Amino acid sequence: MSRFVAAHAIVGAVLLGLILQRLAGGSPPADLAAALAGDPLERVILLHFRLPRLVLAMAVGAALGMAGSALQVMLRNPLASPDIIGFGAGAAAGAAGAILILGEIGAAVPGALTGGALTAALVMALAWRDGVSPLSLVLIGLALGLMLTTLTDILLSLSPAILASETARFLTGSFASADWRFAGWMSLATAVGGAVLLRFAFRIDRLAMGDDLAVTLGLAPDSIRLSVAATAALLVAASVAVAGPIPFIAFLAGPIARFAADEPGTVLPLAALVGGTLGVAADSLAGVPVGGTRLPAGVFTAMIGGPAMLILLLRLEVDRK
Amino acid sequence: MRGLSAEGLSVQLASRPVLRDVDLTLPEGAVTAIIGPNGCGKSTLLRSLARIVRPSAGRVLLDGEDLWRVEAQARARRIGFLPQMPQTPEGIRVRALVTRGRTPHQGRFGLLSRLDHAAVDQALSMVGLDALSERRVDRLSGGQRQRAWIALTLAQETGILLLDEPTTFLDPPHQVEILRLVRRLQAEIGRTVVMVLHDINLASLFADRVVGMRDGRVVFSTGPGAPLTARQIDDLFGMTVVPVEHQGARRPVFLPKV
Repeated sequence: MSRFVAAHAIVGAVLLGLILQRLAGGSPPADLAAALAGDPLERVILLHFRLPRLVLAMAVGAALGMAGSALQVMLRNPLASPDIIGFGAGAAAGAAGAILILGEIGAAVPGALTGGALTAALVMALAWRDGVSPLSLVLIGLALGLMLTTLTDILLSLSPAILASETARFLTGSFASADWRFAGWMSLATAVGGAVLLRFAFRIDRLAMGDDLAVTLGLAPDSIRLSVAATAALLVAASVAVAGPIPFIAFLAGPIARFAADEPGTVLPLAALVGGTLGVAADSLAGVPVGGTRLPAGVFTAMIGGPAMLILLLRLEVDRK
Repeated sequence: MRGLSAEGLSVQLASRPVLRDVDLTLPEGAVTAIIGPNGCGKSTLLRSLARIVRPSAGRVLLDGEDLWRVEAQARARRIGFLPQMPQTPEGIRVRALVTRGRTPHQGRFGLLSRLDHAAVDQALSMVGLDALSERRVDRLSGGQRQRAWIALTLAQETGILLLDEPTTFLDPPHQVEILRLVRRLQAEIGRTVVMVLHDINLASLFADRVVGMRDGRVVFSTGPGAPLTARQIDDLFGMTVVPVEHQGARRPVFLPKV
């Protein structure tokens, strides 16, 4: 079995294990057998609580994983993931703004979608100089992301106390508010966005060799960059809308997938699997009571993500030498 | 008319004129070297011929048609171009890199036909990397890496090959190795090769024709029976040189006055 196939099999097996653990385990543990046998209470727990939350965590994870991997390869930069170049921060700021203006947490959905789309458009407009250079896209996104994070903080301090605490919880990222409506829409977004990225994957991989070579091979770098960045931005905005900004999945999934498969390209299906696994794993940890409360999933991805980012960057440094 | 030519070609970069009214026809099936001092526009000329840089006036013609009107895939099957510093995707293997040269022959999803595999095999053996095809490109020596990139452009199977300073950053034996390879491409498969070179002597020894550039203009071009002269070099670089006949190649090389 090639390493490429083995990587898919192993990540798939880990995900499957987590899925079973999520459906049957947790507190209180669910009785899968009873649910399948038709026990009404167990059925309700399974179908209305566990399953939609699981589907949402997988769909969000997969969306972030694919968006991140595509952008990193396309922009030739491991830092170019959408949570770092401002797309996530824009969606979060949009959500926080909408919650403050409309006075309810439900406003997060339109707010995140609008904020994400506007931010992506703004980043690309600012980076456009007779074409979009990858490095300016990354740097402008980074700067804009920092400004938007500050904006979110301002919005948060303007909010009345109760709303502010709800918004703050939303902003750490969590799958706790999952229902079938969210799970369904997010799955659809992931499927459509994933299909678009998959269609571009062949060209994205070739952009990684530099624009000159891409043009020589008959490709149009700028139009590819615009389409892929827009698709990635929408995937990220959709996941922020339903689960808040879950940090680091977009950043981590691509490098993990590329390392596991020993492939330099976008490896989108594997990045989706890894992203989904990270999402479910974080949500699984979020189900464990810590000090009498439960921490949101985003805390756990941040806890893994920070050190992992450090390791990745240190390894890059070593490679340079 | 077959082949690549420039007609009154001018290019501005950041509103500074870099090429001024260049007329140049590239002989088919021959090796042309472009030389000139730094900043003379030789790289820009090559990049215009590759359709990377857009002319501000004049045209580049491919088989008599304006290069900017040729459909992208058709153009990519006719002209190959190796930039000065291509980026190696992290962790890519030699064979995978070379296979990317097949892009204009593949469909959108990148399925490879038997023809594609054969072209990759041939390119790898042409540059002598068959045995290293599963190595990581970023672990190769400078000369091997350059050969891998050349193999990519060979796998593209274009009649015209443009190489931007293919020998820069290489030590002398590897420089010669690359240029011998270029000669073989011309001799064995009749490729039209145009390369930008820094070294006057290597240009004189390995090219059928040497084009000299200064201040964005073509100042001279040599041809069969009209080899490079000391006067042309003085003219180009403002450096007095002594011509010496290279016995084996029966071409002149040039040494600086001491």
